[in-house]
Amino acid sequence: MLRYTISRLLQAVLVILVMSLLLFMLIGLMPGDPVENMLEGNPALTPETMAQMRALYGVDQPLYTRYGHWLTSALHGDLGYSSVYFRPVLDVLGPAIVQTAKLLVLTELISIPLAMLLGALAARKPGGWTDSIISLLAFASISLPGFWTSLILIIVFSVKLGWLPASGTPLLSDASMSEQLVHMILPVTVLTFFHVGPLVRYVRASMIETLNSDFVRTARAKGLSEVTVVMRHALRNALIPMVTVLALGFGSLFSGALVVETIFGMLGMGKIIYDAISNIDFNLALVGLLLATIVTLLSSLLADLAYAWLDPRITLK
Amino acid sequence: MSTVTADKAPAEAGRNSVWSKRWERFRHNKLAMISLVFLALMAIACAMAGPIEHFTGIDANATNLLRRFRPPSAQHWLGTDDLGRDVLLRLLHGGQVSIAVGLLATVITAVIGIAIGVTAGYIGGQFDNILMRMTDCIIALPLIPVLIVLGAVDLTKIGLSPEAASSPAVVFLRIVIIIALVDWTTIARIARAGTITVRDVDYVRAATVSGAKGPYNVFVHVLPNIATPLIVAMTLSVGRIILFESTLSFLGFGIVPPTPTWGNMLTNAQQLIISAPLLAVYPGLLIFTTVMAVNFVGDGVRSAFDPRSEAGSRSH
Repeated sequence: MLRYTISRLLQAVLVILVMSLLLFMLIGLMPGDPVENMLEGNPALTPETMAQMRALYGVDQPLYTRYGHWLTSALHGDLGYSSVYFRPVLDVLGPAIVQTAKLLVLTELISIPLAMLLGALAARKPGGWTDSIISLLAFASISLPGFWTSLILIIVFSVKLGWLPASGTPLLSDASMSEQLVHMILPVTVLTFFHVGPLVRYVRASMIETLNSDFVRTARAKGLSEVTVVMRHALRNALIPMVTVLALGFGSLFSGALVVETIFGMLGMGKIIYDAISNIDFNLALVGLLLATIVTLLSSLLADLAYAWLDPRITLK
Repeated sequence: MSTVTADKAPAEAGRNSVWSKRWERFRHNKLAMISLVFLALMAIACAMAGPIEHFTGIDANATNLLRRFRPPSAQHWLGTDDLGRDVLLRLLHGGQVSIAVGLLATVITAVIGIAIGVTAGYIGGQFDNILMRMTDCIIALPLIPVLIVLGAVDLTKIGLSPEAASSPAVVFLRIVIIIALVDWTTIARIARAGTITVRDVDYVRAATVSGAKGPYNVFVHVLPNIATPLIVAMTLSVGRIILFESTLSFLGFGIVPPTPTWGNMLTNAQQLIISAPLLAVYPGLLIFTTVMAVNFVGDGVRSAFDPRSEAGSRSH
C-alpha cells in the first residue's frame, strides 16, 4: 500500500510537470504577448522600448527557455504577478479557492445523500413507476445545459418572483452567514441538478447488483425489515465504488462551477480562470488552470486509496 | 437460440438477421422511437432555413434596429431579437451548426479514440500502460477550462493567415477539432477493453500463428467484434458534444456571431433577461430537447444491441 501510494505520487508529480509544460505552451498561443498586453495603448511607447521591455522580461527568448525560467521561479515559490489585478497570482487565487470550495462542498453535501436516496428508491423495483420517473430526471440532468438552467432560474426566481438574488456573492464582503447562503441557493441548485444525474444512475446500477447478491438474500431470509436490509446491508456495500465516481466527477463538477460562477458573477476559481483567459492574463490563467488540474489528479489518487481501504478485497499493485 | 443459428448462418444472411433483430428491439422502445422521429423532424426543419429565407425574403443576419424585440407575428413567428433579426430563422440556422458539430466531432473523436484504444490494447505491455495513464489524466481534467484555453489559441501564431483564421470554415473546424482532442478518451477505453478480449481469443491466435500480421487481425477480427459497444458510445457522445459546443459558444470561445448557434444566441440573452426573457428560453429549450432525444436514442441503441444489459441496469 505504501509503495503503491509513493509510486502514484511520483507519477502524479510527473503528470503535473507535463501538464504545466503543455499549459505553458497553450497559454503562450493566446493572442499577443505579456509585454504587449501590459503596455497596450501607451502612446509614448516606441518599438525600441517594446523590444527592450521584451528583453527585460525574457519574452523574446524561445519557449523552452521561458518555461525553464518560469519553472525555476515557480519552484522557488514565485508564481508571478497577475497583469490585470497587479498582485501576486496566489493573492488573487486564495479567496477564489475558498469561494469555489464553499460552492462545491455545499453541492456535494446535497448531491450525495440525494443521489443515494433516489438511486436506492429506483433500484427497489427496476422498471417500475418510481424507477421510470427517477430515470427520466437523471436523463434530464445529463441533457440540460447548465448555463441555460441558470438563466431560467434567474428569470423565474430573481426577475419574475424577486425571491432570490441573481448574483452568487453578496455585495458586502463582511456579509453574514445567512446572507451568503441566500446568494448561494441558485448556484448550488444548478450545480446539484447537473451533478446528481450521473450519481443517481450509478447508485441505482450498483444497488441493483447488490440487492441481487447472496448476503442480501441471507439478510432477508433472517427476517430483517426491508429498511434494515436496504440501508444497513445493501446501500453500504453499494456505496464503496461511488468513491471513484465522485472523484472522477470532480473534473466535470469543476467545469460546471466555471459556468455557474461566470453567470452568477461569483469570484471563484472558475470565474477567475475564465476572466484570466478572456483578458489574456498569462500568469493567472496558467496557475489557476494548473491548480485545478492538481486538485483533480489528487482527488483521483485519494479515491483509489480510499477504495482499497474501504474494500479489503481490493489490493493495489 | 435464434441468435445461435443466426451466427452460424452464411455471413450475409447472419448479419441481416442480427441487424433486423436489433431494429425490431429498437422499434419497440417507444421513447427511443419518438426521439428518433423528433430528431429527424428537427434536422429537416433546420435544413429548411435556407429555402425559407429564399421564399420569404427574410435574411437571418439582416439587422433592423427599428424592428427590435417584436412579438411573434405572421411574418416573424417567434418575433425578433435585440438587433431586429428573425428569431426562428436564427434558431434553425443555429441548429444546423450545433447538429453538424455534434456529428462531425463524434466521427473524429471515434477515429482518434479507436486508433489509440485498439493500438494500446493490441500491442499491450508498457506501451499500453503509458497510453492508458495518459487517457486517465485527460479524463480527470476539468474539460471546460481546458476547452476555453484551446478556444483562445490565436491561430495566426501557429501559421495561419489572419483572414484564414477568422473564416467561418476555420472557426467551425476549430471547434470540432478541439472538442475531439479532449473527448476521445471514453471511446479509447471501450476500444481498448474490447481489443484485449478479442486479441486473446483462439481464432485470432490461430490467425497470428498462420502468419496474419497485426493490421490484418485488427481490421478483420478486432474491429468487427468491438463495433457494437463503439456504436453505442458514439451515439451517446453526440449529445455530450452538442452540450460542449453550446457551452463554449455561450462563453464566447466557440462559434462567434454573426453565425448563430444555440449557444451563442444565449450570450446576449443574459443581458436582455429583463426586457426579453423569451429570447433566453428558445435556444436553451432546443439544446435541451435535442440532447435529451439523442440520449434516449443512445439508450435505445444500447438496449437493442445488448439485450442482456436490460436485466441489470436499463438506464445506466
